[in-house]
Amino acid sequence: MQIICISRGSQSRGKEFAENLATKLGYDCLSREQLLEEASNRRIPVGKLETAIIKPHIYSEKLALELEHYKALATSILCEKALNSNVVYHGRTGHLLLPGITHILKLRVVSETENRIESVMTKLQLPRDKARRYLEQVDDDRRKWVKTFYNIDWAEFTLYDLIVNLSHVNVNNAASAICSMAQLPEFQATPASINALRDLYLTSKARLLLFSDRRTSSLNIKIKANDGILYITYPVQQAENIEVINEVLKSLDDAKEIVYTKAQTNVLWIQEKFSADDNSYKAVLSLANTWDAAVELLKLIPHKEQEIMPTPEKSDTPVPETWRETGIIDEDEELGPETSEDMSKIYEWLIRDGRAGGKKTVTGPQKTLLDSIDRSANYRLIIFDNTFLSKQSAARKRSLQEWSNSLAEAMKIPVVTVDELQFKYQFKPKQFVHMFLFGVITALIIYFIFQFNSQIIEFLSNSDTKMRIISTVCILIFVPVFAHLYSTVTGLFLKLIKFE
Amino acid sequence: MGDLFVTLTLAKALQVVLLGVIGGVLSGFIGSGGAFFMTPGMMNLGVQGIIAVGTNITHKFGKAMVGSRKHGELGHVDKKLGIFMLITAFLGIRIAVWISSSLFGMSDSHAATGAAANLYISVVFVVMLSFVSATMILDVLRRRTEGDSGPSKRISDYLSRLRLFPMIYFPVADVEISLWVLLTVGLFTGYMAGTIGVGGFVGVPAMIYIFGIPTAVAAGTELFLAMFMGAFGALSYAYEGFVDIRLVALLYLGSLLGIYIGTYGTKVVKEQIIRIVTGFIILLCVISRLIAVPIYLVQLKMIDFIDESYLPLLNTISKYFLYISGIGGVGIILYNVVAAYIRKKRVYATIITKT
Repeated sequence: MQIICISRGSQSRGKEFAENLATKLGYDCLSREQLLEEASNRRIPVGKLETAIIKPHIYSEKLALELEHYKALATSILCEKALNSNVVYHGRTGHLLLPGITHILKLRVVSETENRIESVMTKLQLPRDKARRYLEQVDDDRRKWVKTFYNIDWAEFTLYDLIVNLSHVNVNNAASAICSMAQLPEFQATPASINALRDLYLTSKARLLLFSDRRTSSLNIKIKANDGILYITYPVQQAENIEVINEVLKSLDDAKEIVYTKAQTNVLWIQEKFSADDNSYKAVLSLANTWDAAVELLKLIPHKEQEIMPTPEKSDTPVPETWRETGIIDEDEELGPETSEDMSKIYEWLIRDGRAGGKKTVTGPQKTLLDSIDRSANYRLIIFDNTFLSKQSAARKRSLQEWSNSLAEAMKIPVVTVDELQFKYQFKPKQFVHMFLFGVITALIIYFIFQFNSQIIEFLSNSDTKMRIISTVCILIFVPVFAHLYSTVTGLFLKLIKFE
Repeated sequence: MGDLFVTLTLAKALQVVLLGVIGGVLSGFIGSGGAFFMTPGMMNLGVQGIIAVGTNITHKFGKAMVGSRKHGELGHVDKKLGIFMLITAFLGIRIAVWISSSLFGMSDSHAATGAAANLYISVVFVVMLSFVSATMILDVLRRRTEGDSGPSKRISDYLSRLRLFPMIYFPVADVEISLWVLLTVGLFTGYMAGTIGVGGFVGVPAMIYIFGIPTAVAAGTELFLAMFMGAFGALSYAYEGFVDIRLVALLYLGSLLGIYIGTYGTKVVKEQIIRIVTGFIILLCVISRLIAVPIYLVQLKMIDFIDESYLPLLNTISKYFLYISGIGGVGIILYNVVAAYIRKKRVYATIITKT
């Protein structure tokens, strides 16, 4: 089913445009105001939330939970609508509520400031200056809302497929033009995007259920669904609440199964091919155990933009096969049986070892991969390896590096290969030598302190100005050097006994 | 001046290492401080107050260098905020060192050497940390009844409404703060760091409660600040001859290990419990120092109703009180760390339903 999301500013005639477009296409029209009404019915303090976002100093943990509650509700309503019918939604960057859904047509409707000021002057009977200040305030409040909600600047034009300026084109003509655009193959639902939408719906429904129960409403747990399976990741402090969570989620009929994993953090493991017979699994599991992390598997089938997005000759061309190649897909559907089986086997091992954090397959260009990663998940590390297998060795290495850099920049966390993982995060013989050497130097320093106790006191308490300067400089050099030496020894020792 | 430094026996050295372990665990667990235990602990071992403070601030310098680098990698350091606070923090340290050094030189008898400085340091310690622990405990109890576990924003809310010109925007912390409020907090943080070696106990809560910035950024920025304040404090005290490098090394032996254990504790203990345990540990440290105050008053001949023969007893009680608070706190943390390990081993880890 088609989804068109319109982001509108105040007095930009976005509402009129959205309603006109929905009527022309014969789609359902859903507004942000309807979502807010539903939220109020569920006793979510929407007004307080708006104020808290505009004035962050009154923002509290309780309100942060209410914000998550509202997010889950809005996502659930949008997903439900989009799964049952075609929908035009108008509000503030509603498409960001649906991460990983590739077929959304994302529009931003703007209008020139002068037109907006005149509109405010007429509607609110305000003089020009006050009308301008009012608009600036409203725009600023909306910018803050989007920033708090998604940590994104809503004026960033790359968030939208098209920006419609209604200053020169009338609403009716603009809507007619968009009707043609809506027929483009890029904006049609694919089995992959429908699956992703179902998973998102399942996730938001599970969140809503937990929010609606007093016992589970304030729990710090992560929920995500993949292919109808619900993955719940909870920190060790919440272990006692698992039975209650299970009881609350029992009424969720759409979930094929629910997998619970106790973890403090998440590690995302991305590969094109997972091999069940190498040592990579052992290395990743060892790290996950040390960090108390859940491991999420992501099978990536990389494609270049031009290979997967052919422009059809006619706008009414039926959906070609290639469209199915972009987005999040069921791994059994599109891939060879060998790779899929290996990924499943590794996943079974992760469940067995209590480290499963979900699995999915993404096929498409770099942007699709970035869009498919859940930004709210507490990822601590991304392992990115064994991809671009169709390329030559040098090209493979280069592509891996380029994509790694983009991932690290977008997610603000380290991205490593399996080899780097073993080197950086696991104990190696070289590190043992390092620890031993620094340990010996530390021990020698302590030995000298005892051996030359009186000389040190004499040196420190010298009243001669020149000697005072020398002793001060010695102290300022000694302290960081000793701290570095000994912190390296303790750090490596704790790494050796897996206490990190 | 050499007789100011404590004679280092093996037993005393081991006690200093133990002080380091407890201070390190508390520091890793609370995110700042640790010195509030180590400073009075060293004083109980016979170290002069001014040397205990000088040693502690020097110890903090190296520790902050290691911690600040790690926080910086995670993007938790607002350098602009740190630099603004440093402007007056240096002045605060200089004022603190000047007052302590002047009081140290005031004594007219050998027995009372450093007693005035000790008394001054102890009084500042008691007043300041009583306020911190009471605020912490009351805030947790109040939040508990209201069902909200976040820190109170009443002060930051009030100050942001005042908008004392000029207001400065800090991008990492994402807050706007009045320059005057900034400079005042910086001055006070520096003064507290210079006087009792626990600037973090003023800096971190001030950044959270007064500036309204996130806890992680407050802790990271404080470490950045502590690195420079520590270096400056170490320079000031070392030049005056009040830094015992032997004690610094011994403290490191315990604290750098303790920090890892304390940090692990924060992952497995609920935030409300972290705050309430911290509040009680500080309160016990305050009581311990309060018991030691009459010792300095007698040494300075300011009171005469306590016989001098009772002074060692008072010192012992104060010492045990301090150890009970530290060991008790560390015990709770270690209990939770071990319990978390045991839970980790249970088959409970993964349950699959609805297959």
